[in-house]
Amino acid sequence: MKKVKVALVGNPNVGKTSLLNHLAGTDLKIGNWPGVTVEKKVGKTQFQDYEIEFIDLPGVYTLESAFSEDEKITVSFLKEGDYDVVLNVIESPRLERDLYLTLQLVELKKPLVIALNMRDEAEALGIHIDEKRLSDLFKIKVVKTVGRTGEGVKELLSAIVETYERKLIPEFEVFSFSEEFDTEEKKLSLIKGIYKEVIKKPLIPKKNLTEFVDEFLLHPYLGFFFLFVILYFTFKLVFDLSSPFVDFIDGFFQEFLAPALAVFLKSLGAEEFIINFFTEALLGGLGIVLSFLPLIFIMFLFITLLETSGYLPRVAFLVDRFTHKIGLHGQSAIPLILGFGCNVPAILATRTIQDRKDRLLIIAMIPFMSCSARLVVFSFFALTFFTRPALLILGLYIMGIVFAFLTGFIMKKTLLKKELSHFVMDLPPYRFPSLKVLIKTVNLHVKRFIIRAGTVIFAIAVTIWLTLSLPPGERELEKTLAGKIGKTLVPLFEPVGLGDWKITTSLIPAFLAREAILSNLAIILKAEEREKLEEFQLLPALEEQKEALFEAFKQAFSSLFTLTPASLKPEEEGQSLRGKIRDLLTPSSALSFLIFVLIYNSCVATFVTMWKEGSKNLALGFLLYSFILAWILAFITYRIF
Amino acid sequence: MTLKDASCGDLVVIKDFLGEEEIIKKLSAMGVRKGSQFSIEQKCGRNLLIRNGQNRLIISKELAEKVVVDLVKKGEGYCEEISCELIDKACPEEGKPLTQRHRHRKRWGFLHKICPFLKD
Repeated sequence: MKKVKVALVGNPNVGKTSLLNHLAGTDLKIGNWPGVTVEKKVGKTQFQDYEIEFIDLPGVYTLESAFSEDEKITVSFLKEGDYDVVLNVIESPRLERDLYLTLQLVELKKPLVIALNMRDEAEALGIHIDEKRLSDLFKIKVVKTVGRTGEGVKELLSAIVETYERKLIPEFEVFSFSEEFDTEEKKLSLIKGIYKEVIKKPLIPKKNLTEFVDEFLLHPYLGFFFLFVILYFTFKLVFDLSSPFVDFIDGFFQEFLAPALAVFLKSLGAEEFIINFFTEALLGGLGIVLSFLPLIFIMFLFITLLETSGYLPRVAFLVDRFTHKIGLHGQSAIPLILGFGCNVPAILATRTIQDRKDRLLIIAMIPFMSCSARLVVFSFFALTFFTRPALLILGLYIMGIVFAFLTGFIMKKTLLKKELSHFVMDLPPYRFPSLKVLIKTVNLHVKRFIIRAGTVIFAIAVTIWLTLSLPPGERELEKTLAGKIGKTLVPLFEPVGLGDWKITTSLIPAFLAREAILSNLAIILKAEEREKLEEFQLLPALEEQKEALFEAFKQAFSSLFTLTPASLKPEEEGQSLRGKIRDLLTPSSALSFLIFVLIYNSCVATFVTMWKEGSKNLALGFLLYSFILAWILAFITYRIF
Repeated sequence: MTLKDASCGDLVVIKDFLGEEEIIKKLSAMGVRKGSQFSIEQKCGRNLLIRNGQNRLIISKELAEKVVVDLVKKGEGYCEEISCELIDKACPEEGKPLTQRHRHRKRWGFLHKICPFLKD
């Protein structure tokens, strides 16, 4: 079978990825360009005797100058990369703008095919493009397509094969690319000429849906109201729809898979340490990774929806007037708000920010946004030690926001310093993405998370379990490796009022999940015993899981009809634990503990996601920075109060 | 005049660009080209929302200052510029005495957040 490599090129937001979804079918992969964090989408399909590989290049407006990392990749790939055919995707309603890039692609002297995408939108606006005339002018194949529905994809594949076989390199009858063709004016005149030649449009443009909707969504006052409503419901739905399934996966692993496997291994005569290793470390680690999936899936569903519908640039425009005063791009608002639910999807949501420095800056701010896991710890300690718990929790949230912006400000002035860049952004029309394309894109992101971050989270989870269980057979936590590490850490935490080994040891597994602090303290303080393996019966347990899954669907569905985020409601913990913690800590050391938990980036999933999405240096540097900052603030708090 | 000087609602035609920077080439590639007409739909904070047919762009005032334009038609009637004044006019001019409104905002600490040059 013969192979053809096709580079998809076009301006941003012209529907390249939607088209690629239809061209490549299910064989679509998402990855990174070597050495950078820019997404690389590659897909393959078989057509006639050919295996056609598509490489989706980041959107560019021009090949003459590259500003962002994305643009540099496209320019260098087109100039030096390995490909056979260029597929230039053009947004039909904006043909005149897109022809600028087309003329630059002509100069590459490579076989070229033009896809006039969004034919339906152009026709709705009364714009008709004569694709045959355009084809005659360039002497190449021109195909009309609709990326949303996949219309024209077969014709496009056929055109690609023909272009490859006949080596259809664009030529110009009316214009030769001689040395005279070097002035901007001539290029622009040529574009105007081509445009006039191939297009028919009404003299008075039709008022479209975008203009009508923007009268509300970009309105100076109403725009903010709608922004608040959209962001609030995005936040609420992301966490409310996912949390019942997160709980279900957690329960499925802990209450069904783990005991089932334990019974099975016991029947084989395995030792207790081996049984625990399989059920707690391996299954536990896998459970942690998989429990993120509903959250990541739903978050990306909403983010992709906001992005592909064209609303994100509007958010940037509305919010930028305030955020730029503190050196932040308007688009930073969404990841920061998502951080209040969970830092991991919030960091992943920064993928919509193009500038690398801006992206790193937001990633460094997100861990200060107090997530729902920390709320569990806050509410427990606030209710145990303080008379005004709500006020204290609000204060902690505000403190997190203040330190996020302070960190952002410092980084902007030091490590991530950059000149004030000129800001120019295209405002695309509103579009309804097809559900098929939407789900495919989201699936790609989820797969990427499992491969990139999930594997590392799993490995760290197993390591932490080993510290809690070694030497083998040791039942007293005090004598385990974690207990010893906890005791070694005591002098470090003594000045901040947390000098008890029980507290320091509880912080070690809390690196897996912040809410684990409470369950660990409960085990250490013997307020709760480790669950003993009771007689496990497969069928009743399976029945229970079926009911739990049904309950998860019911909860998720009923959350659609509430206005407040149900997933952020604090849960009540056992009274016996409260009493024992009161004996262990004073109110001032409890406050110091809360501030330490708020500021220190003690979450392996956040740490790994920072590493993978930002950089190794950022993740490690931030871990150290957040520890030092958390220690200093906890010290001040403990000494003052 | 430059694009930055145009008022909200004005219709202008692009005459020339100041400077030879790479960003000018990008502007051209994005459709801001000599001879094309743009209407100014909004002026907010540091940005302008401009439009030419189906092409709508957000452009910073720093960049708009590099685009020389001729006024084709003065804007009339309703134009969404109001909210932006809240921020643009929130800061007093440097070196000039504070007005009553500014003093009020200063008392609440609002000015310090958005006017970096302001000192006690």
